[in-house]
Amino acid sequence: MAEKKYVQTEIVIPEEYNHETRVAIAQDILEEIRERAKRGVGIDSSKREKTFPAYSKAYTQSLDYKNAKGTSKTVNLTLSGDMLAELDLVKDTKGKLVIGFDPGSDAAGRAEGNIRGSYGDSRGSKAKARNFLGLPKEVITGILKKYPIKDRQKTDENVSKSKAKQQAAKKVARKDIDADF
Amino acid sequence: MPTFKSPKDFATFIKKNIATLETKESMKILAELAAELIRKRTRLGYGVETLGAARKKLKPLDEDYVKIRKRKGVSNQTTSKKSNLTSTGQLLDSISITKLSGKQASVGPTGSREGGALTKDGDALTNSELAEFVTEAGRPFNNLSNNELKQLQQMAVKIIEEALKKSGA
Repeated sequence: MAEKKYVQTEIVIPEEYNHETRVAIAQDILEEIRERAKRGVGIDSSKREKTFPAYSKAYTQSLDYKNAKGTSKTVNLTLSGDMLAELDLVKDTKGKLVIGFDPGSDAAGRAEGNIRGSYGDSRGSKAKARNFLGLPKEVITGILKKYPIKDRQKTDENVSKSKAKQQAAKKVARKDIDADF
Repeated sequence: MPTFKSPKDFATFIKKNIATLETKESMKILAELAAELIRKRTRLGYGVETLGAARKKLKPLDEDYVKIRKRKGVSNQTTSKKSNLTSTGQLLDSISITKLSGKQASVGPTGSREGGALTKDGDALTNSELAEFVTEAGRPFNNLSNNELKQLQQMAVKIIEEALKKSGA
């Protein structure tokens, strides 16, 4: 089981936001983290932007790697895509979001390996770490600008837009695409 | 973002953009992603029992079958011992869109197989028939897992966002 302290992180936001706005902000943050990870960008221990180190030769030559990614060497933390898909909002409270993974989930172990650079070695390694769990402060500030506390109409519209987007996408993914023989 | 005179105007704007999801073009993007996710996950050695369930390691191969695979040789996408529904690679490579409209899409194994097993009537097995056989034998794979549904959902969000961007939002 992964350790919660490694696979979850807190993001502080203004206390004025209500639950619905916090959820919308969290969705934007999660989308941004996934996009950045797919571009090979994460954060360092000071939450500054950091490019992920390259994959090891042994990994890129493994059968699983070749089956999932062919000859591509792009570091994007995406083999099956499950790990980044499972990244979610864990909890939201006044002035705070907790994002990350359920420590008992399938993807949490892989996430911890990347975040700490441990990959099965309990000590971890900063040089090997690909910490994707978080965003630089200025990126979060940019997201919060979509939800201005002093412009209620703009915030409400962006919250409604986020909610409608998520609901429609969920419906299509669950009901309209299926696999059969 | 455009300004709206009333919440009703705003709701109409959102509804119009969300409708872009229910077009043949959007459904095709989502269905192609679904096919790729099933193919990739199965080749990594995982199956999914029912829609929305967590992926599970595919049942290991019988020792006798491993011996046959060693003797006959297998595709470079597997090894003789690896359980990933790959021998020649035809079954998973054949997964593609089987039904497509603006409202719904289905994906699954398609087409016939070259040099494969025969049915009791002497006809070559189709990929779809082989898929049914391996599923009944305890290796279900042609379903979307919980995390695959999330990936489809995330792609659908991107499609709506593109539409919103085009609308000037």
